[in-house]
Amino acid sequence: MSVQLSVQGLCKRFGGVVASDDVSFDLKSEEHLAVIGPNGAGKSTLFKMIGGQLRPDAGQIRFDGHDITKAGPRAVWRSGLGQTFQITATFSSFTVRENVQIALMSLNRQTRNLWAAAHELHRDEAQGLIDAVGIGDFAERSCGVLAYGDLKRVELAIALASRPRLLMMDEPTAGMAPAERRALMDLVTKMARREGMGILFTEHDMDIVFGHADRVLVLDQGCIVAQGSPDAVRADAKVQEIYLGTGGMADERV
Amino acid sequence: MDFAFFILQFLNGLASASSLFIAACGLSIIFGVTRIVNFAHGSFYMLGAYFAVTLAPRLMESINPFLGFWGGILAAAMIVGLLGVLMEMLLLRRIYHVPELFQLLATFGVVLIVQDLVVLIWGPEDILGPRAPGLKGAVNILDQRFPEYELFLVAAGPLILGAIWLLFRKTRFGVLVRAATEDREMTDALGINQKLLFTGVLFLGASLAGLAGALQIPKEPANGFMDINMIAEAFVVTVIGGMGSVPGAFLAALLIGELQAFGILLFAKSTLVLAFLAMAVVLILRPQGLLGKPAANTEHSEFASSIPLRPWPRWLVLAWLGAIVVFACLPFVVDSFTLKLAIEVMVFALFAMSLNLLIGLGGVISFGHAAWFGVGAYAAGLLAVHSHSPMLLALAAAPLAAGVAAALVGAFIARLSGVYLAMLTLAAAQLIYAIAFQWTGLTGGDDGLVGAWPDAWAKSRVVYFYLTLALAGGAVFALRHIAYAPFGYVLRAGRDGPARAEAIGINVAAARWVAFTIAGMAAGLAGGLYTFSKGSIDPTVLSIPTSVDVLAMTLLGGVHTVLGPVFGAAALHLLQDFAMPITDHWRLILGGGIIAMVLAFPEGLVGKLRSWFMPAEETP
Repeated sequence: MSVQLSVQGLCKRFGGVVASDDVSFDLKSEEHLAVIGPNGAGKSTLFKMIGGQLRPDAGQIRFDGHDITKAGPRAVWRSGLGQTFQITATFSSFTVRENVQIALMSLNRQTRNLWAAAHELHRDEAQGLIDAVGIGDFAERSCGVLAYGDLKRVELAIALASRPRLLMMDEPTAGMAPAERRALMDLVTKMARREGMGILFTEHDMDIVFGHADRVLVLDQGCIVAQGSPDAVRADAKVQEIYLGTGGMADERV
Repeated sequence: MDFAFFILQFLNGLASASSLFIAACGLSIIFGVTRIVNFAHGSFYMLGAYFAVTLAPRLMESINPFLGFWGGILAAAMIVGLLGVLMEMLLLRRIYHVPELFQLLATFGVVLIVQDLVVLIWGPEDILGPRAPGLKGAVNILDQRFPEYELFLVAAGPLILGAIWLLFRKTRFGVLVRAATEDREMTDALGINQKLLFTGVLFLGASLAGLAGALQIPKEPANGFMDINMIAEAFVVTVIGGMGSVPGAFLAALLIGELQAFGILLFAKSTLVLAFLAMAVVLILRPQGLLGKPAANTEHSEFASSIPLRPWPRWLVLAWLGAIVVFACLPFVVDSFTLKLAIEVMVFALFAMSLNLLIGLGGVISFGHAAWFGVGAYAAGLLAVHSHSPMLLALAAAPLAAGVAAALVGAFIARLSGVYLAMLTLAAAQLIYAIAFQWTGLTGGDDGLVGAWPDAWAKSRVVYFYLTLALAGGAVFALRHIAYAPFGYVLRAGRDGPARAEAIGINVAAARWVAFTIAGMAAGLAGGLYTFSKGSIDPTVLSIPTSVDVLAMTLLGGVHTVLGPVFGAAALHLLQDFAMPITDHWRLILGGGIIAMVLAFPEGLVGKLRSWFMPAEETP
């Protein structure tokens, strides 16, 4: 398999805090890579740099052979990299379906259209996407009144609307009940396998990580301290030390 | 310019910088803690002066001149501080959770009320104050005479800065103020009594404003214009310094004070223009102000909504069609005066709709929307009066000129957000106001342009009514159409979740810029129609009160409703039109009305109606 995302020597500091210290890794196409590490390890910073929300101090990010180090979020998205955020971000005054429709309008470069009835644009395609993530029945509901778990699904549908070749998810199941988490991740991985889409995600729930990742990358204090297959990482003494030192492998967020 | 003159001018600058700082730092402190942009700060300032001219002479007579004067000044500051407490407890406490614009509007309601109360209590005449005992003379500086009182003022600013610094460093109250300015949620979470803190902050801020006003009395008589004159400058100082930063306000006051001291030599009348230009430059280079912290990148605008834009049900479409037909029949049933009123209502409806494109859909707070209305009005008026162009040509030029102006300004400010953007729109409006006011040769200055009447074919008020109905009505429904089009969705997406919007390829700043331009054009058309309905135009169409009027109309109608502003415009314009002739105290009524509206239904008239007729959705 070819390399889809290549991160080389990424550095980022905030004042005295080194959030990212010479981080390098590759993600092969269609690979599902989990990034784990204790709170403050630099996972979100890494994702924001890849997603274009943060500019790295040094290093290079290549996606499908193109340098996206200095690309902003819009350019990153157009290059085929979709993302969901740690804090769920949907458009609260849109209905569930419209949240996906707006992504499709943007994809089709219709954002300056002053005439068409937006409510009708890409309606069927959007419905298909929300059906696929299991919230098709809520199509006409306002996102402002949706339960958190459902919002996570809306966000997923928004990210999938552009048919990304790589999906980047920052804690996709945070705040969900355990059964719901597994269901969502099963759904995502199944869709990804079918579409040939790569996944890069962070997660605190180790059952999710070891159940859904092809490979795991461990960050601590901005550095990669281990990477490899889930089994190898699970057995890694250094990883155990990091986790036991911060309060155990068990789900610390519940 | 010789050296002695230079030094004196510099000292003058320092003295006015001191006054400015004392006046502005309270505004900054109040904003830092409560996040409320307090328009009434100017009123506190004015009240300080009025209380001082009332108290000081009496105390000077009954005690002794020295103690009486300074006692009077301090007493005035304390009384104003208590009035600040009163405002916090009666009004602000109820509106901390509502969007900034509503708070601003509510405090503007207080401004209007205070203006009328001051006239009621002290009368319309200016009141001269006593001079400061012991500081009546002048000293010689490089053979030039310099008033002692000015010298005292030069020292007063740094003294107050030092006192605030001590208060903030050495007292528990000060530490809490700083903590709350830094992170209000956190201080709240730590169990700090917010009510007490906010009340204390209002006392501090208001008494500083009162002190600044009281200190003015040896220099200028207490008068009814002190509030608006001061608030514009205080805003500039606060924004340049960085909202919430006291040392920043000091630096900014120095900058503005000196700029005005020397600017007055170059452009005698346009010192306020210089101040606003300075603010624009600073904000473009450093959006958070000199010493301000970059605004926390909020994930969504405070105008984010959870109410989807639903296609209209059939009954609503029919109701609108019916209403338009009835409205179009007006010329057959009403007199000419009412028809004029109807024309104005349509003009303001379009004006308010154009503002709502920015506020309601884009979540962009524009505080100087009168600028585009005024540019349109002047473009049409200038063409009609100076080059006698046909009316339709002038009416076509109005939206074009306003659109170009809005596009130019928007190019600079569309990437900003929140209060800073609002302040820059205000700066732009004040700049354009100053141009219209001072370019007498072209615009007629204060007197404005006279004789912009419709062409012969449209002279009849009935014809002009239908022309306005076609143009303003058409534009209103075009704006409505935009709300339902992809571009309207894009604007709302940028409002509800800018980070999310960018992550699906939406250029939020560019969309806002386009919205700015469209809103400017629509407001410009409204302005052009206004000119020909009045036959004349003067700079008040560009002034702050006009911007406040249109804001009130928009908010009164409801920002999260598509056509709410139309009703807001009608309601407010009719209220003004009926209230003004029957009472001298229309500002009292209007101010009270605005406050009542903010307290009673922050979702606006139409928003309120909707929540009655279409109950909110339940969580699945």
